[in-house]
Amino acid sequence: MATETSPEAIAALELELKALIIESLMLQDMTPEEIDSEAPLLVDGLGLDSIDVLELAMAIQKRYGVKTRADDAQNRQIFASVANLARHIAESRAV
Amino acid sequence: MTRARPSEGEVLFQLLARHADEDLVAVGGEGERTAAALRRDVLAVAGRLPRPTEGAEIAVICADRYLFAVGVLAAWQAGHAVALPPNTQPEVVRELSLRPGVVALLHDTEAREGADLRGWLALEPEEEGAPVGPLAAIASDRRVATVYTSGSSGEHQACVKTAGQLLGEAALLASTFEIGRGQRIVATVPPHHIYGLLFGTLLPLLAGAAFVRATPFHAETVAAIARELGAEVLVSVPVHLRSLTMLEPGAMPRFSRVFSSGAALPGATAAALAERFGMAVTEVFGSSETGGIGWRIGGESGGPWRPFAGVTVDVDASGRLLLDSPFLPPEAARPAIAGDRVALLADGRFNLLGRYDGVIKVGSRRVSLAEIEGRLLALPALADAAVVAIEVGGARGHEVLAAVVPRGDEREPQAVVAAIRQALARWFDPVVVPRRIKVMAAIPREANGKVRRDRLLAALGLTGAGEREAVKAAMPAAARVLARFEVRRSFPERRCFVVRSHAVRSLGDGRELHEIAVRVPIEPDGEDLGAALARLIGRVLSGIRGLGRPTRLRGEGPGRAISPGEALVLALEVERARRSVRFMVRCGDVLATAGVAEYGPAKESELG
Repeated sequence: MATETSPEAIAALELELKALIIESLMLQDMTPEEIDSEAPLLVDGLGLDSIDVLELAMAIQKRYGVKTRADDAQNRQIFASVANLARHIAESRAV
Repeated sequence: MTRARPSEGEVLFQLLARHADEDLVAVGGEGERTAAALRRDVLAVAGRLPRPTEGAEIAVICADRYLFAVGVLAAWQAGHAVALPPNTQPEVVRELSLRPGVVALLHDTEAREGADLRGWLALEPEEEGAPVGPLAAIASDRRVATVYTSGSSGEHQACVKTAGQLLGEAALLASTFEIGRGQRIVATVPPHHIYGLLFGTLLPLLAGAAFVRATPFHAETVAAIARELGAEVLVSVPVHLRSLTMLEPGAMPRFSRVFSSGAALPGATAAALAERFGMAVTEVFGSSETGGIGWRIGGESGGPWRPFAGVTVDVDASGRLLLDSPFLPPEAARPAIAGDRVALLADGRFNLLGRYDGVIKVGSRRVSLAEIEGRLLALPALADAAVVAIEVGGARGHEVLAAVVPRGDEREPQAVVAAIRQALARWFDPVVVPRRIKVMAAIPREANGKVRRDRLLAALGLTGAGEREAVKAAMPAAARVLARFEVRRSFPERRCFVVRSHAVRSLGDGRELHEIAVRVPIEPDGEDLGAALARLIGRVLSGIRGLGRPTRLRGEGPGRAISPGEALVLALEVERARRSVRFMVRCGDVLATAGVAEYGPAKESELG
């Protein structure tokens, strides 16, 4: 599963994703810096709900051409944090 | 049409009567199950339930639709009614299980009290046992379920259902939509909600059909499960259907029927689904209190609603929907007054004009602001709290916001907000937990202790401190609607560009300030936002009496790019006497663009 993606590229992708989250979920009272890459995106952290997750999935598909998975357990994992999302996008694009 | 109570004639409902023993009732998940296996499991569980007493209920909370069906049918077989919660958050389930009438809780999770159905069924022999006979028939006047839903008061409202209401409706749905033996149904909504209960569980059990055990909701998962299991019927809600539009055309199997309920299906989503997958969505309109009322095909652009057979709709002098239906409680006065405003057509169909009872929905979930506020005020860490909902358009529809005042606390606001979220998540579906929670020093309360919506919104940073009376006086409602329509139309395929508020203030010296808060759509594909904003400004100005439509808007300065998803405030300084208008578009504290409106001699010329 190892990919060629460098830590810098992942960090840049994470920042981009934070901006995308803020933009697509209309959280404009937040800045990307306020979102912790490792913190949970759902209830305990940023408080995203299932509607947010679907919106975000659409925004990610639109920007990166990367879709959700056919298994909801995997999707839960992918949408758990910005870091996981970035990893998933990097891996899907590297294929 | 008679307005009297439905006939007392005894109707008996026989679940699984249309299934042969070997017909499947459940597919996917932990494995397929036949009708014979379901009957065996039902009898095994029923045999372990307490004896029924007057008013006794069994709470059933299962993520696996097969186990849910086993629990519900077993309760009925043993002579009980079932209690179904408004959501499955831990505190709600606990509260439900503590209700005086609830004698048992059947579930399929690790954490809860009550009985884990998986454990009970695991004890049954794997081998096919002796053949079992049909399940007991259920008389139409028997009370079979209490469905809890969010009311406007803050208390959960209990809707008691007889078999005639619940199974009668499921049977009507099966015949209206011609769902029958061998068909497979996949639902993206959980089985304990009335919609998921009727369409995803009871309908297949009555019609000889099968359901998918899981409840997928990600687009790819829905498509994969439907393909793999050969599902032909999809039971969903607008927010889930919208996300399907990102899939490739070939990814989705052809469904013979796609249902949507819970909220209006935006015309753009209906059109996108039709174009991409050839999906014609059947929308169903109803409520926990009234049962199904009507249906239509094609979303918001699909035209009027047609009442179900046996349902009579009428309208009272104030435009409220009057209803007579076999799915109303037998003892209810008829016609019943529903919480919707309607316009009736000569052919008996009707158009919905919105709610008049203030019920709001986030996604398709009913929200009680009073309930959220009550829970917040009960938190020891908070001294005060207020909750408000704003319209955001799109699949979400509304967004809930909360203002909270910590009780003498030096904690970081983020820590306070995180703690509140966690506390609310024990009670509410995450969709209903306020999206934004703002920590403040005091809630702007009036002398009588009430919170004025506009002042609360201002405190939350959502509008200028405008006064509603002034808005009404200076801006006829029709003009506001026009502005919104114009902008909706400019983004036909996208989340609409919602005008969230319009406030007018006098600046003295003959000038007035209009502040219009709008939200830019997230995906304004190809549409020039500048042009759309100019049209909006033009529309707003033409709605102000004595101004007319400007001939052009002249920008001053470079202008900052406006990004999708941003919240903007259009500020218009208007001096009617001189016909002078200055406009400013702000994003937060940053000025995005500014300029003046020009009025040429040709009054009717079009705005560029």
